[in-house]
Amino acid sequence: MKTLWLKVASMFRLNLMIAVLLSVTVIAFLWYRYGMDDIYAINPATYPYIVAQTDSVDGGASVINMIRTDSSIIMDYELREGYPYPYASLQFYLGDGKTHGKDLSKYDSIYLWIKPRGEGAVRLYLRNWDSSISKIEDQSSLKFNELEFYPLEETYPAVFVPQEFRVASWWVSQNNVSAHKARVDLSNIPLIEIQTGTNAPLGYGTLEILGIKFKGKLISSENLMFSLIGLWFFSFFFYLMLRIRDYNIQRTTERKKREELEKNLLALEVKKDEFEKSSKEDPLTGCLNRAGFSSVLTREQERLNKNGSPLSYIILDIDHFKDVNDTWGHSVGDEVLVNLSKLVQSRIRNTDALVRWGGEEFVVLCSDTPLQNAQFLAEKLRQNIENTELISQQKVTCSFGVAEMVAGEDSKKLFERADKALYASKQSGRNRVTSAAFKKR
Amino acid sequence: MKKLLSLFLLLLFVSCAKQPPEFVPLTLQWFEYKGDTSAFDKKNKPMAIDTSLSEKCIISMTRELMAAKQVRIYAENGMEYNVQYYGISQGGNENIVYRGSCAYSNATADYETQPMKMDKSTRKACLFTARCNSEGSIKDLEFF
Repeated sequence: MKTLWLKVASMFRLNLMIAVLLSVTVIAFLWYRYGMDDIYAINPATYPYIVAQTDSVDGGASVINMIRTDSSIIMDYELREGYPYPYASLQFYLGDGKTHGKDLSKYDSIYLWIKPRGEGAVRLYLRNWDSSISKIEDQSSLKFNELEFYPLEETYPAVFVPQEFRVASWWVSQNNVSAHKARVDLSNIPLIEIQTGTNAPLGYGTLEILGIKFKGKLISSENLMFSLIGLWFFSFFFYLMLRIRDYNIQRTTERKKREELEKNLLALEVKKDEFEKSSKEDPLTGCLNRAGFSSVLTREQERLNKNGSPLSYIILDIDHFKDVNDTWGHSVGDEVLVNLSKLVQSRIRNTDALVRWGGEEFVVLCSDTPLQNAQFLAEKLRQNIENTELISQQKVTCSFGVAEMVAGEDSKKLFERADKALYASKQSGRNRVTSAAFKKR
Repeated sequence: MKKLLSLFLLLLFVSCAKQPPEFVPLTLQWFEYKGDTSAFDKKNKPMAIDTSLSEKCIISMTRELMAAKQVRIYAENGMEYNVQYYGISQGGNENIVYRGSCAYSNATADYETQPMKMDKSTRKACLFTARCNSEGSIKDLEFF
């Protein structure tokens, strides 16, 4: 069952991969849309690094009192005359509170739970450390990313986006900041200030702060897009590598199979050749047998009929071969046959064919040979056999019959004629050559 | 008249019909004479036979005999010849002389050492002489 699943997975892996990638993409988009939130929340009731401050640090006379409750922090203040722009504020320190604050640039919305008791605007400062401008001993050199709003008019909680902030112009002019540097920067915020706003009325006031929350996404939409594109790209790249590997494996396997097949084919061809050869050869002498002879004869007959190339046929029969077998045994008889075939084979041309016709009869098919030349060859063979000691026990001679084929003639007629010539040789005393000479009427 | 015409047509038909060629067995036994060639003719100048010429001449002689009119006519049931041959010099060129006679199973002459006797035979085309020149062509084939 497991193997079946693996096979199915292997067959449809591209489809599966695309399905998985589509699912991952859809899930990622949905998660990004409805989740994947990165929230940074400050609970004023418990946050330890909060400092209350008034214009008294700038020579003013305003006073402030900070009270923590279970769920909020309450700032009671009294703005008094003294400083030209009287104010009271709560300062929330982040990070080390000086040079290393918190990166709030990745958040795309700011929630502020604030309840004023009295009229007037509220300022929200996100103070940024910029090493090229800010000085560690001078808190006022931290960039004033400001936002002013009227809490009563805002929905509860008040929600802002970073684009609503601007850099305070008085801070820009006070610090001679270039326009390039005077942009909103929330990347390193060591201090958040909530302050009474412009033209806040003199007298008593209260500001209750219940919470501050920065909300963003764990990754940006650009990063999500890049990640998904990367995922798709690397998945397809991996798939491509897998296909290349599979292709190589398949090619290697097929090459091995092909080599194996070729090897088997070669072995089969060798076997076939061996069988064909053995089926056409006389096992004792290695000469052609009748089956082998017929294919050679057919070929030569075609040449004769087509080109008129003469074709002669010599039949030879060992004289008194029966006596050899009866006297010396069949093994000596076989020795005669083998030695005779070797001798004849060595005396004929490559184009001639030696055939064991049966028993002690052999045939030499002489291609492109007229009768008189075949007669001469037969005479030579006769002399060679007579003068060679085929076996040590006794002398062996042969009688010969020679005939030439007439174009269009049936091979049976040729054999009969050669046989008659052989018979004549036998009749007239053996060990001689007789040709079937053409007699004109 | 009608019968005569029918017979004539039948004869014409039979004579025009393609007849297969007839063949007769022709046995040739070759003997190279190694004795004194002056036994045949005192004018003969003996000469050693070159093997290649000898082979060429034997083939030519065989062909000539097979084609000889006398053999074709008279060798009804086949013909067997003993052929004796020897080399002579004629005009500085090597020639081979052939002497043939019908072979009889009871004949026991050694034709390699004894000259073949050309006695008149009762059988026609039984004796012949011929000469093969230095180019391997048969000349002067004569039957007795």
